[in-house]
Amino acid sequence: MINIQKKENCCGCNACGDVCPKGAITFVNDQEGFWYPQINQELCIDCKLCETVCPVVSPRDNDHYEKPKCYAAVHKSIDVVFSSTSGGLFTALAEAMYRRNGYVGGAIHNDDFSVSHFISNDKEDLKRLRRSKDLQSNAEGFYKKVKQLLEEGKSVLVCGVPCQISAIRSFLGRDYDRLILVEVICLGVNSPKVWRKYLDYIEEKYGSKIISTENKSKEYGWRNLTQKFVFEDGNEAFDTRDTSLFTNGFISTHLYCRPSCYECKFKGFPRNADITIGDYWSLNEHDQSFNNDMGISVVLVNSPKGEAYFEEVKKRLTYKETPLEWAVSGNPTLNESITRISDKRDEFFKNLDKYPFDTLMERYLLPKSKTFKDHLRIAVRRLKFCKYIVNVTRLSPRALYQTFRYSGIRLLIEQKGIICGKNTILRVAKSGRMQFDGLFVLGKKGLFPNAAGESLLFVGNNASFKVLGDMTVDCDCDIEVFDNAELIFHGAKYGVCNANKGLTVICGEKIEVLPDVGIGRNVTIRDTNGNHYMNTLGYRTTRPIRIGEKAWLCEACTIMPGAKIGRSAIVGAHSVVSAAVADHTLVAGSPAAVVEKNVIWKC
Amino acid sequence: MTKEAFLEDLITMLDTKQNIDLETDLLDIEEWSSLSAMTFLEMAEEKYGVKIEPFEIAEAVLVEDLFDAIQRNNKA
Repeated sequence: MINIQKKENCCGCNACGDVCPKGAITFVNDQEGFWYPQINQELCIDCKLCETVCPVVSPRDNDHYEKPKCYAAVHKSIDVVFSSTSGGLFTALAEAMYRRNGYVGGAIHNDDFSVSHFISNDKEDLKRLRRSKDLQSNAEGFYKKVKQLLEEGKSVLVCGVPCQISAIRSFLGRDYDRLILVEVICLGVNSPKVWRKYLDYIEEKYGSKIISTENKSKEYGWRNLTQKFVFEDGNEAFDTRDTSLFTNGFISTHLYCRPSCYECKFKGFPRNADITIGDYWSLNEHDQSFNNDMGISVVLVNSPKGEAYFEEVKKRLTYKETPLEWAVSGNPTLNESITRISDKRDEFFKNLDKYPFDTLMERYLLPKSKTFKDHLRIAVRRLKFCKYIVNVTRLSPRALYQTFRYSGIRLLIEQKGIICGKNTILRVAKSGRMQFDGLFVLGKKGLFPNAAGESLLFVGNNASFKVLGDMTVDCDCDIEVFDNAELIFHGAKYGVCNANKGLTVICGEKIEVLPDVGIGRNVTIRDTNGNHYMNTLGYRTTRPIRIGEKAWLCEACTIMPGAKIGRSAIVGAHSVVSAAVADHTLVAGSPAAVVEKNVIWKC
Repeated sequence: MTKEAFLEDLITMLDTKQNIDLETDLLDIEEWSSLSAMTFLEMAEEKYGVKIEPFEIAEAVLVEDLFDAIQRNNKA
């Protein structure tokens, strides 16, 4: 009979519950939200099967490779890469199993975004199986199901965290040729309770129910570790490694991982699974061939069976064999458990029910105390910033004068304000207002720092020009905010916000450009017809424009009065838009027509 | 429909001079584009009477994946 003296000795794999012939084992959540077996003494016959199957109590040896073959790999389908956490390796491995008419098992989100293990032979389920979930997944009943399928002669691929894979090997008791075990490189599993609390906080913050969430959405790049949320009201929200309290608590503080993860028994080599997959974080330090920030998978092939299977999958991958050491250096978690960085873990869980998620995290995320190195880094950054000002202004007296006059020393110390390039002319009326909450670089010249290219900015009487985040506008631009009008650039939020050469913005009423909008060469945005009038029904000389978050305006497109461009929409080169463009829609032509819907793209 | 007939139809549809077999990577065929994906769906319906939804071939990598999509929907 299993007897857990110390929480660290139970990895929560659920295998004991499945093996018990009397159904005497149930799982009960503790106050941290992790489940542990509870034994009904009246039913227990002391057969000790639960101890035999426990991967912590009775670890099993294997004859897998001490030094696995290591690959960097990316799925050849860009659609798969967008839908995956890393390079789409799980999809490639699963597809091969579906082609054999086999079954694929792994973790899926339930309706309440808790995580369970699930198995089927329907390729449609791949959408739910792929992507990491970062959570403890409930595998009750899963082991039995896998065994039953194998006994029926079916082929099966199972993906899970290393402790689950060890558990399945113990549960089956023998090897099956038809079984492929795939493990993900695991840092630790987080508390399902903390995860739910985080989701509740997000739902409250955005005022709508979450209908789907994606871990490591690629839209702002793989390395940004973006959590994407889609809400019932149709809106979307993103939380990146810099902004997400949950990701920070997980990765930098290891605050709410399962106790057993701090003393994980499933580290080092040989690995228990046939194939190990994960993120190849360190590849770019050695090799630049996959460097597009879309995600690269690391693949460790641990057994002859895994090798044969991977051979079959290879044709759908772009791959490269690499030294194992490269992979290990970027994934130290292959060899070492996470450490308890914070000594306040117990206190955190005691207060978990008492405080809202953000208050809690503010209190328990490690304060970033500044070391000497940090101070040095800040000093270097300041110096670089000064050099940047020199580079942009080319020390032209007018550019320097305008930079200091309109930014002010105080803002520039905070690395905010406006930096004017050489040949930039600013005309700001006395009652015109400018506000810079980020760094606005106007008239940058890129490859040709000494080129003539003029940049113009006019702010009329009672007009308002606001830049709320970092933004760069290249030279040859003409930005005019007429009297009483308002132009707002939100600048960069999660990604970047740059306008290439030749931008024209003519603002007669109100133009709002939301965060992370990308602007190509010679784009024109105008909300005014410049005091021309027509006898057309409903005609107005100005109509406000709103350009949605992370929209992409391609070369020489024209955004006309009244245009409302949706989030992540793409306006094709030389198109003319004067109506609404829906979220995630690609439009092109004059007048712009829909070319493709539901487009996902990475900036 | 045989593999040979399918490959012949695909070559005609793409108007390519390249040698194509089931193992060919779609991105290695110069004439293959998002537009040809649409043309392929039309061809499947007109020539073989098989209706395939765009999402079914969204993740296609090899010529084989297109052939499989036709086979799968033909049975259904």
